[in-house]
Amino acid sequence: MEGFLLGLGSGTACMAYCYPVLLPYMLSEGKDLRQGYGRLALFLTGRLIGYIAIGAVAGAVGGLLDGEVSSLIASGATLLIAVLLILRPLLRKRHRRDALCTRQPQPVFSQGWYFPLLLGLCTGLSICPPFLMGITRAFAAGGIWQGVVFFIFFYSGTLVYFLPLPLAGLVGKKIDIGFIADIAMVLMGLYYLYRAIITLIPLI
Amino acid sequence: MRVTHTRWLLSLLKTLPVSLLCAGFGFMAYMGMMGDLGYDHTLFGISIVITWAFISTLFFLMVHTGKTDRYRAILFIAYAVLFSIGFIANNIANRGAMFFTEQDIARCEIPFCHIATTMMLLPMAVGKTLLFPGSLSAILSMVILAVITALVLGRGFCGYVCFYGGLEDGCSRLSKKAKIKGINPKWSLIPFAVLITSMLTTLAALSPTYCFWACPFKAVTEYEKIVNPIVLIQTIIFLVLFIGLVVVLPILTKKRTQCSFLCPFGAMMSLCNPINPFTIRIDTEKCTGCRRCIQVCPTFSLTHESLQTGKPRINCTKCGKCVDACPRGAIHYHIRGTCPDRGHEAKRLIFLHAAFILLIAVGAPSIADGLYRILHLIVAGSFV
Repeated sequence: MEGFLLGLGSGTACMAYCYPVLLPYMLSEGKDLRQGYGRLALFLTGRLIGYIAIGAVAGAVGGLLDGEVSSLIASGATLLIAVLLILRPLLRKRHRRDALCTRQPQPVFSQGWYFPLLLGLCTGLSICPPFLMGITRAFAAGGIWQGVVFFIFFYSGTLVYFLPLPLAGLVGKKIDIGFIADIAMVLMGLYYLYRAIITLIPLI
Repeated sequence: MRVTHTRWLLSLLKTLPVSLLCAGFGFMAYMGMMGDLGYDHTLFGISIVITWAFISTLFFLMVHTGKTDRYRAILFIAYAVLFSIGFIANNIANRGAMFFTEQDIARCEIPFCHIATTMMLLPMAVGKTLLFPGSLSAILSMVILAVITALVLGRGFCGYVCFYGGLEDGCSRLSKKAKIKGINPKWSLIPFAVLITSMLTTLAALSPTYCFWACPFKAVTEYEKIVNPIVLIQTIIFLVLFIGLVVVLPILTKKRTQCSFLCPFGAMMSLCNPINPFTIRIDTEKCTGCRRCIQVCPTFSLTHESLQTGKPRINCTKCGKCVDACPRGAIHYHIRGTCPDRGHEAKRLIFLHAAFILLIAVGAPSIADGLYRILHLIVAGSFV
């Protein structure tokens, strides 16, 4: 219960870290709510895999990672987020054009099951303060299983804040929200690129 | 002869509310600024009288001639230029320089402008936090202004109240013919993307990213002192954006390119356009499809589709340029919920009164201040 409440309490910080990645993407993917929640589930699964990976490495080394190593992982993941956000609209546009030309179904990338998964994974790997808080408390839970259970509840608490996100795709009856979202994704990508460069420079 | 006299008198009578309001604000500005800033009594008094006469005359001409944009533009351009002069002069008087330092940021002494309100919304809603290094009273007054304007004028703010818009409006009128034509109106959706991005990045970075990275108007107000490579890059970006979007592209396209392709506040006001009472309507029966209105619209708000539906796009600034330009008089101001076929002039006047009340409340002190600085330059040889 404590883990769930802690997750619930740090939800606004989670929003600050994940919404910038997720919102333009959800806006760009249209109005189908079922697909929207499917994409959200994939993103959250990817994020959980990222957290588990960090947690496993941290467990293997017997504590939280060295500052420089964790910074390097986080910066690399941020760089990958930037690349994904910038390339996504461009690739999708090309695939859409190809699909129109050949009159064939759109390729897998544009229907995109692995894009949200990858985006979630990178977000999970770019270590954020709520995750640090959760995993620190999990380490102090008294044992491996207690820690795992604590972290699962903590993670569940943060999920509440993501539930409204697929509804974002419903806006934009009067304006071409897909075009706006594509531009926003590229701009967000540039922002993450800047953040990655700024954090990578001192490490290299 | 008698008819002409009656028309003049009627126009004067219709100008009276705006004129009285302007006089009232002038008096308040006189009393307020004299105490705070130690201005020269006579010079500031003269600048207030000139401001009052200037605004009243232009409003009178709008009422009397039935033309909107012709006189609005004069006021709007003068307002922007004088605002910049007054703002820079005040900075130099208070800080000794146009730039601000990290100490000014730490002391929360950075003036807050309406564009920054767009970035404050998400952090305010999510984290109950104001992420701007300015005074609380300045931030709150701008938020209140934004809410009132959104409800009353919608994106009409950008045609009457914005203290930056006149700069590019002026530049867009410098050339006789557009050198670049045929820009796809779809690009005018970019500000919505900038709005989303600036809100989200402000939330993520816990700092007003648009202000630091993308605001071109730092070139005519204030900017951060260059102390490291990042601030240098930011300075280069805002200068490029200012020269490109506020000066060069408006001259080449005869459009307000910064408002159309960048400004997040304009995007927010566009979203408020459907909820405020005033709008522009095209009489589809009178319209001959000459496309003159599409050609003159400075914000890509009219398209071929608009001529068919009788409605402009969501980003209309209600500047009245299309109303003035239509050779058939097929475009007019409209108040939602009223009969679209009658009372066009009355609706235009009601809109102009609403717009001028806000313009005077926000702009009259700035105009007077800018004029004071110019008078001071003439009399004393210095802006400050």
